[in-house]
Amino acid sequence: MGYVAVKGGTLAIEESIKRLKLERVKQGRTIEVEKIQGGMRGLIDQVMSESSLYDETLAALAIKQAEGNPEEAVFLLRAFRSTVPRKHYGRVIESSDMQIERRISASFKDIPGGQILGSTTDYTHRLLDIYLKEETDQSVQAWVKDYLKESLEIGEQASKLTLPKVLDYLRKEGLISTCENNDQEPDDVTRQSLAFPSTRSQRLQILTRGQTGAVTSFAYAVIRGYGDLHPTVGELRVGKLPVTINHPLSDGQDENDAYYIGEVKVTEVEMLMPVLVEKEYGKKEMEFEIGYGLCFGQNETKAIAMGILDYCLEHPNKEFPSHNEEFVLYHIDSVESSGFISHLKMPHYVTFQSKLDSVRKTKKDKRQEVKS
Amino acid sequence: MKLDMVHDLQSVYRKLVHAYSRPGQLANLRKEAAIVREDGNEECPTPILLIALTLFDQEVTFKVLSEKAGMITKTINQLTYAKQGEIEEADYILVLQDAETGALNKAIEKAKSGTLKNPHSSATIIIEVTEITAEPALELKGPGIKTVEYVQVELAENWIESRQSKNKEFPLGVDLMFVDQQDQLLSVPRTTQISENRVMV
Amino acid sequence: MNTAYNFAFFDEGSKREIRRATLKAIAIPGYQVPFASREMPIGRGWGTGGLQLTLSLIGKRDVLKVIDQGSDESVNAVNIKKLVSDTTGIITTDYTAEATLIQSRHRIPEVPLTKDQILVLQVPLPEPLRYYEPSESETKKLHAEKEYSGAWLMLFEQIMKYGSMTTGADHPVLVHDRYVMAPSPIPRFDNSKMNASEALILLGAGREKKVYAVPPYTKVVSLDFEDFPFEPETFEDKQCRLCGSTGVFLDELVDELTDETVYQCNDTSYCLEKLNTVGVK
Repeated sequence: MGYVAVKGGTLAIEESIKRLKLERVKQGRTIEVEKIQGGMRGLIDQVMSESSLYDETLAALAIKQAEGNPEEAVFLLRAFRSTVPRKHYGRVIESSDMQIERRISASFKDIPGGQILGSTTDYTHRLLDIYLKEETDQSVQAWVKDYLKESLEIGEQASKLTLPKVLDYLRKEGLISTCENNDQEPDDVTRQSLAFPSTRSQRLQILTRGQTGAVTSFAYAVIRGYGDLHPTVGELRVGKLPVTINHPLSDGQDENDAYYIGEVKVTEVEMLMPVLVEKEYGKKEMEFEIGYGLCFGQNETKAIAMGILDYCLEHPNKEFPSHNEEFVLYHIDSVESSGFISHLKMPHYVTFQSKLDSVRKTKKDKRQEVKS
Repeated sequence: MKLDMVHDLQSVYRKLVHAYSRPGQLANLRKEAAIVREDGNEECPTPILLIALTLFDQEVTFKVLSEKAGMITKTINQLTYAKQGEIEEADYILVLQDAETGALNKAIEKAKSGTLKNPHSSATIIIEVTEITAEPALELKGPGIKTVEYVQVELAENWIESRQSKNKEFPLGVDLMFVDQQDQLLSVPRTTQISENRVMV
Repeated sequence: MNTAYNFAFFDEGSKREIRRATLKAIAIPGYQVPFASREMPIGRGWGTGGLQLTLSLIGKRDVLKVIDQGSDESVNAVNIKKLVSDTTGIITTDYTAEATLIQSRHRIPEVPLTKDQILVLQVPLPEPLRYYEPSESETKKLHAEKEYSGAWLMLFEQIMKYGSMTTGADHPVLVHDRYVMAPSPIPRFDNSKMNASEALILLGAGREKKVYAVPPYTKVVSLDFEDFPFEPETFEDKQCRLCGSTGVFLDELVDELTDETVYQCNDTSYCLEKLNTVGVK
């Protein structure tokens, strides 16, 4: 009869996992993934953006498994993303090709194509709707039918809508300076870890994958005073962009050989920042610089915040933490920040024992000193 | 029997880890090489192909020094998607036996040796030779070696001096791998001190 | 075994990337090689760096041991073991001598390692100069220039304040006379095991995205001063209450019945082996 280890750990874990499942199902109801996909667009868009994985069904599944906890859902999707082989890079997408669903500008009252409000909570009154409790699949289907009938009566075209960029209009008018296309091959932060000084492509990727709350808070700090900015929304657009890839076996970049593989809904924001520029003879002029934000899904707050931070990081300033690239880029990733904070729950008794030993030693030496 | 891209390459990788950790102790790639030869590989020297399949992909660049450089480059590119690079920029430089005289020294001199901030952004040079033996021609010392290791590498060129010069400012330097006709592999990382053994029995 | 995923969870491209980084790390002892750390199914800060190293190394015939704070049964160790065996089908063991791969959080096993083993250590903060310099681009420069006065300064300040060095675990070491390295939060007691080790030691920091290595038979010296030499934790006149071992790292516990302070082997499998050969003391 030998001594064997007390296998408490495995059993405890198994029970804990069962208990977790109990929490999810104890009310005797399960939510179909289709229902989440149908009715939780906001959470799905947030989770896809923070996971940098565009798939509404997978996001809905992750949300179901995570019981609606965005931190957990993003974790699940990112881990899944790690297992998926990377076969292609998409071709460059021109965002002016966007099929517009919503498009506004705060900088101008009138813009070519007009202010299209689209689907937004901006004009709703945030009054909790008790009657939503009574909503059924039948009642919503009837509502949709009526809406579509009404649209046909008004004569709304089913055709797709593309619009010119507000900023292009400003460039044509000479109100903002033109700039050269930067066709440098972008870095891929999921393939090569971030190094400093960072490149713009690295910064934009980290910002777009950032936790919505973190990105929002840092940008809030900037516009409240911990920064150098007074931005306005030059243009915000929400809509679908086509994704294409080059023919896998050819070397060429010819558009005619490219394959269309699907579309992604994105939110794109161009922020305008007035800056004072010194010209010849000490003359100071106001010019506009741009901050850019782009996210999967309709994530307007995050895209605007991203535009603000993009500008801040392009213009480092030691005085403000939001203008410090290491401070911002290292701390906005949801999986990293929540992971490290939660790791504090892991046993640390050896490290603690080690510290205890050091503390005791200093006290012992002190006592000896006092004695002699 | 086809090469298992998961398990056979994992096996090759572990042999590389062992060889890098213990310079002077030869790794043997015979088992995996046999599978590749059975599949009918003729173009590229088999141990070099194995290393390429294990380590190369679209994220790295390589340069081949050989009379058949064009064909070998194409083969490796098709199998791994790794792209060709200039000798000064390539992550891996392959010096085959049929390369012109002085090729190894040229590779050592021109290869990138990293920067003080990023010493890992240096090249690895893989050299094909006829035979690696335990004859005490070269004496190896340094990390991974308990006291001393002895090897002999059949090579016309004298590369010891140019390597020593290239690697004199540790951590900058290039790492070398030798493979032979017996599918043996010798790793000589930049930390290894090599001296020519004058005392021969 | 979970066959919905590739063997060892992540795809071959990800394995290749960390394999390349690992070989570079072995060639440059003590230097932190950046790698594109993937998200794993366990949390960042919970051992994803060590896990990625293990998963990139592991093969069908490996035997894996995982410990956390010296214990095979710690919840974190069990969890990692489960993930690896679910995605690979390999055998796990508690016996140090039987293992070919050992992943550990915060301890080096008491049973001496052999040349047929690889030790993978989990690292929360790979940068030994971080407490002193928060910026990554600055610490890169300091390492490049071998500018380590900050590390010595920290130790000097401790001596001035407390009369001795007071680092707990993770006391910095100098590797191959070149890089100051964070050995991971192993107790000072374990630092010497890194010097001239029989086994290869790899260290992985998943969240910080760094992998580094101490090859076998490499010089590893804990930082200290001539007049204030490095002192590991001592357990003089203490022994394990179960197996009687001395000269090993002991956990301090309070006996539930007697309220006395007692000591017990931290390395649980070592203790068990001793009990099974020697018997209860």
